[in-house]
Amino acid sequence: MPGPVRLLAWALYALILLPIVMVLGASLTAGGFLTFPPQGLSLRWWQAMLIDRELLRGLMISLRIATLTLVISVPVGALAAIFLDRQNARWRNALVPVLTAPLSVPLVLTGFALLVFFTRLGLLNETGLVLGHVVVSVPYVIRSALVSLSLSDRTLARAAEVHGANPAQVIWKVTLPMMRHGLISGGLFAFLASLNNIVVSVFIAKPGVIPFPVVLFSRMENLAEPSVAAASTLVIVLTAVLCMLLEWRYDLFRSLAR
Amino acid sequence: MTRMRTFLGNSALAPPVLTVMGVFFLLPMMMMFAQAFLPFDSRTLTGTTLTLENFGRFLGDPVHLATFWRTFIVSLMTALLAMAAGYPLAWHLHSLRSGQARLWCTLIVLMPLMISLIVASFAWMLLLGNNGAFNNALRWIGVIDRPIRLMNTVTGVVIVSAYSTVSYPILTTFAALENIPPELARSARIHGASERQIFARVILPLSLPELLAGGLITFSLTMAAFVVPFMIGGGRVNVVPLMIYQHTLQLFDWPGAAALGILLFLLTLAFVWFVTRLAQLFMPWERR
Repeated sequence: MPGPVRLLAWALYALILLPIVMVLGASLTAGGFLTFPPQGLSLRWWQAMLIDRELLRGLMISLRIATLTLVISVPVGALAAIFLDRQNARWRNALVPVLTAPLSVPLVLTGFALLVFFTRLGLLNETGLVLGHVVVSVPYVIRSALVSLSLSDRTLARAAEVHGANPAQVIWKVTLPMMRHGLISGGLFAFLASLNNIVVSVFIAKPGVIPFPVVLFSRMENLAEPSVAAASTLVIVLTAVLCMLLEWRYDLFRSLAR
Repeated sequence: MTRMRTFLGNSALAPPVLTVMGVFFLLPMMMMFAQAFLPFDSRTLTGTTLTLENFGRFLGDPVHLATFWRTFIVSLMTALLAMAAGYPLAWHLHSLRSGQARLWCTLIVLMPLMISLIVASFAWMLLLGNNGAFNNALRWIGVIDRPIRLMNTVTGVVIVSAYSTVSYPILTTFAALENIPPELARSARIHGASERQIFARVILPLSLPELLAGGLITFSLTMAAFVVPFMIGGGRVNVVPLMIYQHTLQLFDWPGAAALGILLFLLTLAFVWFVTRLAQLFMPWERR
């Protein structure tokens, strides 16, 4: 690869990291406003964040919703992927876009449609938020699980069947272990899609149950405080550590590159 | 017997996902779709007869049409910028040999996808403001003496939108580059092609379709994004998703929002279809 292109690539990597570094830096400012470079160093805005109940509450709600979303969407997506994998090619090609439709429909529409639906059902609460997040997360799980299934050896399931395993045993002992990597990266994506979700949440959230990104969004209308940067840093670090652990352990990237 | 067992095995697999997608996606979508054909009364917020008036309200008004046009242009520019920045990164990732280097560069490239959109926009606000890091740096070097306005402009929105979606063209292009058989470059080299020729005649044509596919993902996502236009555009860059948001949550004009949503979705689909057809025409090697 030619030198100038390599240089450009490194510049672009730096540009991707720059905003992340800036949020971190801005949260350490000693001044009263968000600036970069920070004016002096202090942890006062981290302290401010720790007593900011709305922020902390939003963070807790988001973590809880993301965990529930993960717990629901991984089994649902896994079973769906096994189902799709067992259909013949024509059926599969027809069904995959249908079952992963929330990925191709604009997220604003999904959020708005859920608002219309949940208003009717009286579900504008945490349950509604979890259900909404599950809808947009399941397709990620289906996709990455399908990729690992297509890379695995299908004859193994047949072999287990021939040796007398019942359908449940085949899935539990053969198919699921084979799709482990896909489920882990799909699960990570489902978790992050929920943790960072704002577009669906902003439609369903009601006072009392406001997830973290929506708290940030509503504060952004006024001028942001450095404690927001502190909370953002916390989420970035959490995300980065999760990704690093999983990438290092399970080669997350390969199953995403489809 | 075997068939029976297979059927039983399969029949337990589909119901959960069908319930989730049927009840919590398809049904809400249909209800929203129906909304678009109900009349809107700003006092009672309801109506029962069916009408096409909601579509006429937006299609007949030059201000709204201009917003549709702006949304399209912003998304198109974003896709082009993300593709331009994505290709060298995908190529670089592909050229890395050491697993360790690949791991770290992969993580960096995935960052815009993984971190919260709101946090990213927020960081970019610090960068792009008149007193932001970018302008301060330029002033310090002495290139400019008056700040370049980037916040509250279309340029700013395009830059940040491209940042938040650049991972998609990178991922698709990287996958394409990895799948090109190395023999092709080798045989071109044996036949006397220079490195530049190999890139222009072999590597680029074979990865272009996937770069375009990634660009179309970026385009579709930007067509539907309101967080970045809201935060970076600061009310000066109105786009259709932002209008949907306002019509829903501030004006309580659900029929209007539904009509806007349907129009936006159709416009996106039409453009994606058009580009895909064009690509099939001009890059026949990709035709499946």
